[in-house]
Amino acid sequence: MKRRTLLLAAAAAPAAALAHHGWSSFDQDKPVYLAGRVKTVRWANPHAEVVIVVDAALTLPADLTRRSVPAQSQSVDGAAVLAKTRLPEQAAGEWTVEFAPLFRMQAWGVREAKVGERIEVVGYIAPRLGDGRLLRVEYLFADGKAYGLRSSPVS
Amino acid sequence: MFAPLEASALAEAIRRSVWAYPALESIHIASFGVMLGSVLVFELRLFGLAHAIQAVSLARLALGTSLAAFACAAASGLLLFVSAATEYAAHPAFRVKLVLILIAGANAIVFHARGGVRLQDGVAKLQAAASILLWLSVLAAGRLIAYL
Repeated sequence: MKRRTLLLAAAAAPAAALAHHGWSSFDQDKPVYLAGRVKTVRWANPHAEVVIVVDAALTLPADLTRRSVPAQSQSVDGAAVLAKTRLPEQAAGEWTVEFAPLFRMQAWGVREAKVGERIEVVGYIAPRLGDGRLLRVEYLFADGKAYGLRSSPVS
Repeated sequence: MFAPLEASALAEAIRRSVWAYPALESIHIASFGVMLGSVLVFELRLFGLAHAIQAVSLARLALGTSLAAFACAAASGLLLFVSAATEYAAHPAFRVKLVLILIAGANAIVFHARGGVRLQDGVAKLQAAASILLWLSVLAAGRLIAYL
């Protein structure tokens, strides 16, 4: 709830089904890691969203805690988030991965996801929301870069 | 019925634009704010505040304003709806909101059909109170769309 993006999300509100809900449903104390192939892409407002298929053999990457996080979260809690990150229960299968409004995605320089590509994300899940297989992205690892879905744009 | 609407070029343009959706939301919220404000001002007069202002004159200004604002809210709301028509159509809060708008609209029509502005009787005052409650409920239901 401390995120400035919350304001944006709130302003971007009249929204669509499962993808839209308050941020408070997400458990921000338990970041989780997911990686998988992109199955569908909805790169649209009120926020971008993809469905990924996570493989059954997913393990936490050994280098996760050593990965550099975007500058804007480095001084805040970037390393701590990665240190706390775990795999969710029943990681295998489809997950809906939710990003920010397009305006923010543009500010952060995140390009549109492509069907078939593999993406890695760290984020928060909302076990009691819908089928519980929805993740709100905190970090996106793609194209060899880490993107932080926080307030400050990457420079 | 809603799927073709959502698949239309207009809907796609609203979804894909960085600015269209937030801009429409701003228009939607501003319009509704103006509408609620002008309805409230008129209803306060009906409850006996600001006697110096003639109710009929105020009605002309405030109700004209609220009708114009409602039209803007409805137009921007329709465009937002189109951008994800199937999802909104199935959304419980959205459905409740539409029903509430219909009830509030019917209430306003009955009020004016009775000549409530001139009568200012108990029924008219009751209708005015109901009107404010209904429009606030519309607002709450609208906000809930983003949270359910």
